[in-house]
Amino acid sequence: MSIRDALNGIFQQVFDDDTISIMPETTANDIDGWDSLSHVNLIVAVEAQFGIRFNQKELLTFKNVGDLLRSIESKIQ
Amino acid sequence: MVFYSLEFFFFLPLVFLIHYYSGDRARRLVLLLASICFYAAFKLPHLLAALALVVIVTYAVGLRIGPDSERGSRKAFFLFGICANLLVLVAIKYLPVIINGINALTSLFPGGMPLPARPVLVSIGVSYFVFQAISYLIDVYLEIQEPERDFGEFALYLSFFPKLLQGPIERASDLLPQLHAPYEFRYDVVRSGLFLFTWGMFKKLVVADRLSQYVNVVFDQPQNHADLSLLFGLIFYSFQIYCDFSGYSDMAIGLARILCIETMENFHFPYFSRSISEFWSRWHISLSSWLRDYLFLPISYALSRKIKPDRFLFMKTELFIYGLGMSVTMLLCGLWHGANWTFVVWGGLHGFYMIFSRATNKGRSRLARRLRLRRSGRLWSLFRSVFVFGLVTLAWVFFRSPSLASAWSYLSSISFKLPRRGVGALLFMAGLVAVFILFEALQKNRQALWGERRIPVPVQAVALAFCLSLLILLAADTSNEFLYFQF
Repeated sequence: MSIRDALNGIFQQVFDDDTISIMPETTANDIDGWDSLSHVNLIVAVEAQFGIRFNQKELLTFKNVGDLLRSIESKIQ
Repeated sequence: MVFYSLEFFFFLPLVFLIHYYSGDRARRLVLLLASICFYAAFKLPHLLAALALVVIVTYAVGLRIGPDSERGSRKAFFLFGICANLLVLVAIKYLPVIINGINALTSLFPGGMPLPARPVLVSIGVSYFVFQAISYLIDVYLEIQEPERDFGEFALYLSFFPKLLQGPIERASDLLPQLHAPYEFRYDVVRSGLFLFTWGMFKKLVVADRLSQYVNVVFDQPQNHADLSLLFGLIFYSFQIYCDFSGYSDMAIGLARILCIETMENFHFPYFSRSISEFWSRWHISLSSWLRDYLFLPISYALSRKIKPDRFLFMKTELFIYGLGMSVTMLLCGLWHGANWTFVVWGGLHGFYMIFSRATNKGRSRLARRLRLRRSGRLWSLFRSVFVFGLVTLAWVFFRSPSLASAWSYLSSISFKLPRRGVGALLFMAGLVAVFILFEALQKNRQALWGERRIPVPVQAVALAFCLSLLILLAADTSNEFLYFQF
């Protein structure tokens, strides 16, 4: 399973929506219910799933799913 | 200096012309000097001193906490910079109240020595440039933002006069690159700035100041108006504060555009919001996004990583984290407006709305499915907007009242009896609000109205002439200061 597929699964679980299909350019405006708290839940779920930890800089600068994907890839390599 | 004063109408064209005919380096100096003169016009030396202190300390600390600085001392300098900024804010805005509180406590004990009382200082602009300085320090510390090395440009970033008194609270990453860039006169931008400035002045002088004449009467003596006037007074206050504050923001954003600088949007039709969290993503956006990024999110991340079980303190962990983060954020948001219990209750009430909304979200969806309610369509959206407006309006009572007792007196005096006095004034104000709502609905997509090509130029000219005519005909005789100056 690719990182993107695994991340898609986390999105579906956090937002309770099996139809979500993420793209690198997907932003909070594209997904119903993606508010500040669900963002926190998403980040914490990603950290737990991949066994990584984002720092404050990364958390403040993620603009879209592509940024998140790149950051995960750089941490698990 | 306020934007609608006579001196500003001489100040702005003069600054624009000198700025336009100057070279890039001199242009930034012109804007900096203009910003200092603009602030100095209040003739309050402590404000200039506070601004100078914040600029110098934040600039110096910024250089010491950049990515190349020694790791060990970075944190100490960063904490020093944050504390110095907070001290300036506390000394100017909260010290008299803190001293009164301490004196009230010491008076309970025999032999307690009271501290000398401090006069309440005018703090116009201080909360805004201090918050901007704090966000700059955090961004530099987290290596999101390069420290600014040019002192003049950094001073201009904090003191740029269009946003100095009431925001928007600009982030360094948005404003500093524009101050560095060579100047380019863009006709469309300048023109849209002039339109926005005029529209903001219309909101302030025609709508907000007219409404304030009614609102002040009913809020000053609610017991003398124990009928529907109080309910209307409350609704009018909701529109007064919105037109006052967003009018100022429109004027500030318009002024910056006249100088070809884009600042962030501060209000996005908040009274059309369909939920309370949507309201906060549309109301005073520069403050709410500041609180989200630098307070709510760090608290939530820290708690989420620490609390592992699904349930905590008899509730879902997710709700506990949201509740705690939101309570702290909204209470501080209330306190930011002033050291008064009324602001704490106002912030607390909004925090409660958000937490209650989150806690009952799934239950409400289930109930709607069971009752087979159709939760979509325009009527449903309208119902939600009116409901959210009602909640926000209720909280404004505390915001407007000088004390909790007077807020309660206002709320308990509301009755549904028809008013016998002041019916003409009430109908006039209601008509003004109705026309304003129509204006808002029409320009919900602001670009459509103020952009160049979407609306024919003659229609734009007529709209501008209409606003200017109403400004002359309907502007209140005695204008109030902008309400948000006090914060």
